[in-house]
Amino acid sequence: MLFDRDGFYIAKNDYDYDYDYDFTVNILNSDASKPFKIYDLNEGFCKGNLFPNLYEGYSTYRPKEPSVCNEREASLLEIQKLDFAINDLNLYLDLHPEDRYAYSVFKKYMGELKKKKENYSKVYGPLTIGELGEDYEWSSSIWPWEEGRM
Amino acid sequence: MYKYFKSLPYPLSIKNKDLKMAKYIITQFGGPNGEVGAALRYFSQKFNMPDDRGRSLLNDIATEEMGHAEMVATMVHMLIKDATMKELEDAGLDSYFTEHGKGIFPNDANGIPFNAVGIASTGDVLADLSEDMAAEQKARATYENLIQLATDPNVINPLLFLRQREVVHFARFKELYDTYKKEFKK
Repeated sequence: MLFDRDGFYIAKNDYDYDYDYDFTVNILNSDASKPFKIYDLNEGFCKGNLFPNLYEGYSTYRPKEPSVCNEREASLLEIQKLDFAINDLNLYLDLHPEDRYAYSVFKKYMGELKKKKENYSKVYGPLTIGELGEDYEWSSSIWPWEEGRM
Repeated sequence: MYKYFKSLPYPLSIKNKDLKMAKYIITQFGGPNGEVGAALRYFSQKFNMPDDRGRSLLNDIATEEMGHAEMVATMVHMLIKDATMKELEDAGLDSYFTEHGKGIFPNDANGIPFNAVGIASTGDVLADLSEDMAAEQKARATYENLIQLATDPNVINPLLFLRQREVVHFARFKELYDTYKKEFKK
C-alpha cells in the first residue's frame, strides 16, 4: 500500500521531501452526507490537486515543493499557489455552483490573490496588461519562458 | 476573449539541458495526448454543451490546458536551448533541428506534427464527454511514461503536477458525464 486513506504517500524514494504543513482542514458542504476535505494552499499546490478525495499519486514518486531561485520567484510562487487553488475550486464550482462554503473559500483566496498581485506588480512589473503603472513595462518585465533575469 | 497572465501555472527551475527528455516531452505539447490537443478539444466541444455546467467546465478546463501547453513548451525550451550540435545529433534531434532549429514546434516524440485527427467533437454530449475522459487518461499515462524516463527532479516534479491535473480533469468530466447520463434517461 503506497498511500494512506487520505491519499498521502507512505512510500519513500530519492525524491522524498518532509513537508511541514500547517494542515488546516476545510469541509466542503456540497453534499451533507458526504463531506470532504480540501488541502491547504501549499499542499494542494505541491500535489497538483486541492481535493484529497480525488488525489491519486503515481507509483513511489512523492511530489516536492518547487524550488525558487530569488525573491521574485518566491513572490510569484505565492501567487501561483493562490491561482491554482482558485482554479481548482472554479472547476468544482462549475458543477456545484450552490456550494456556499466552497464559494466562500474561493472568494477568500481571490481577495488574497488581488493583494499579492498588486504588491508583485509594483516591484516586478505587471502580470496582466491592466496592472501597468506609470511606465509601459509590459514588454520589458520578465516573460515566463525567460530565465536568468529578475 | 482571452487575456494573458504573465506566469506559468507551476514554477520551472530546469538548470540542466537534457536533449532526450526534450525530444520525449514535446509530445505533451503537440502529440495526440498533448496539451494543445486538449485545449482545442474542450474549446471546440464547449459550444455544444447543453447547460451551464457543461459550458463552464469545458470552457474552464480548455483555458487551464492552454496554460499547460505553455508550460510544456517552456520545459522543452529550457531543456534544449543550450544544446550543442553534437548533443542534438546524439539525442536524435538532428532532423528536428533541420526543420525547426531550436524553436518550439508542436509535434510528438517521433516528430509527427500536431494533427486535429487526434481530437473529437461529435455534437453528441455523451460521446464528447467519453472522449474527454479517455483523453485525460491517455494524457495521464503519457505523463507517467515520461516520469519513468526522467531522472532530474526538476523535470519530474512539474511532470507529476501536470499528471495530477489529468486526474482531476478526468474526475470532473466523469462527474458531468454521470450526471448527464442520469438526467437524459428521465
